[in-house]
Amino acid sequence: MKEMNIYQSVPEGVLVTNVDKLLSWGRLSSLWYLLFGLACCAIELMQTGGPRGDLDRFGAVPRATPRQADLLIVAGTVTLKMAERVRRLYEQMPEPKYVISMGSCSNCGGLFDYGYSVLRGVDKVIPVDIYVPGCPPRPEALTEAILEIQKRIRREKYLAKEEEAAVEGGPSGEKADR
Amino acid sequence: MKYKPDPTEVEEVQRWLFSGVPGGIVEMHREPYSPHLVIHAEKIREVCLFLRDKPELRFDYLTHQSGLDLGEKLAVVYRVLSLGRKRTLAMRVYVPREKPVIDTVSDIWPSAGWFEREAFDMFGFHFTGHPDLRRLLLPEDWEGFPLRKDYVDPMRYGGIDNRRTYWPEEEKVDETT
Repeated sequence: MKEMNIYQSVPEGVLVTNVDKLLSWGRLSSLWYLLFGLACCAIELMQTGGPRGDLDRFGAVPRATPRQADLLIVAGTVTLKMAERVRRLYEQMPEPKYVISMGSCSNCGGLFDYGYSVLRGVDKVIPVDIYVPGCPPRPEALTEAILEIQKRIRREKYLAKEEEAAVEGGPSGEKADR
Repeated sequence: MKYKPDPTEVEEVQRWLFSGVPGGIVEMHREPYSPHLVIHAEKIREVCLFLRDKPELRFDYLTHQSGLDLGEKLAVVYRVLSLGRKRTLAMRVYVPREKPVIDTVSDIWPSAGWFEREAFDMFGFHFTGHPDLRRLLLPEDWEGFPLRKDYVDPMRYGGIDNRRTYWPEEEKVDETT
């Protein structure tokens, strides 16, 4: 959608678009993330959600339960004991869902790569959309990742995809065209 | 509060124990940085009760308890503190590697409850008489004791393939385990 003055673009109070675009716009403007921090990256996550990073201006607000969340930000070191819990949280989130792996630890194990109890990358247990490098990443980096997720959602045609999946007999709402 | 260990204090405690618990002490170390007593494994409860209840010593607080892997044998390390007398004491008990069994002190100092669970978790000591000897930090179904020197890091756990996706060339090791 071209950015322009809203009064110029809808002079009659009528906006012509298609449902997929409207839905995508609605979803990307209310990207609720799960309030879930594991280590020091969680401090940067809080800072991003705080008044200076101000993630709220993109419609991203924290939710305290996975059942209301669209986005999982894995912020910190994932131990093997925690890996099952991360997977369970991910499975409880309703489709469509997105995952940001924040920081070196959840990308690949990072600093604790040689630890016996540390999972070497959260992508071993759940699919990841965006990897944010850094130890920990600055709030700007996380904001960039949120914007990137929003770009992807804008491109997505969720309804068409769901219909396609139903025709093929696959699971509905399956992630495609990544 | 004075926390720095003083070798003369170890000697004093050793004199008390010599008469209080005969045969309790195996050896005494007076090194300025780590003065400690080595206690006989069978006498550890007797020694701890004596240290806690003797009015002249009154070690009423177990600040730290952990393990050591010394190769051929394992050691349990105790650090006790007397808040009233303002002094500390370090003790060691050696146990054989094949059969690391030792009496619990969790009923003498309640803070030993979690210390002993952690020591069991990391070294595999079996504390006889502990009310709830489970793993403290690692999952219940974990295999092996990570702080032992001969421990091999697991490459998979509970269906998760935990091998590295990238190995630097010079660090390639056998990943079949």
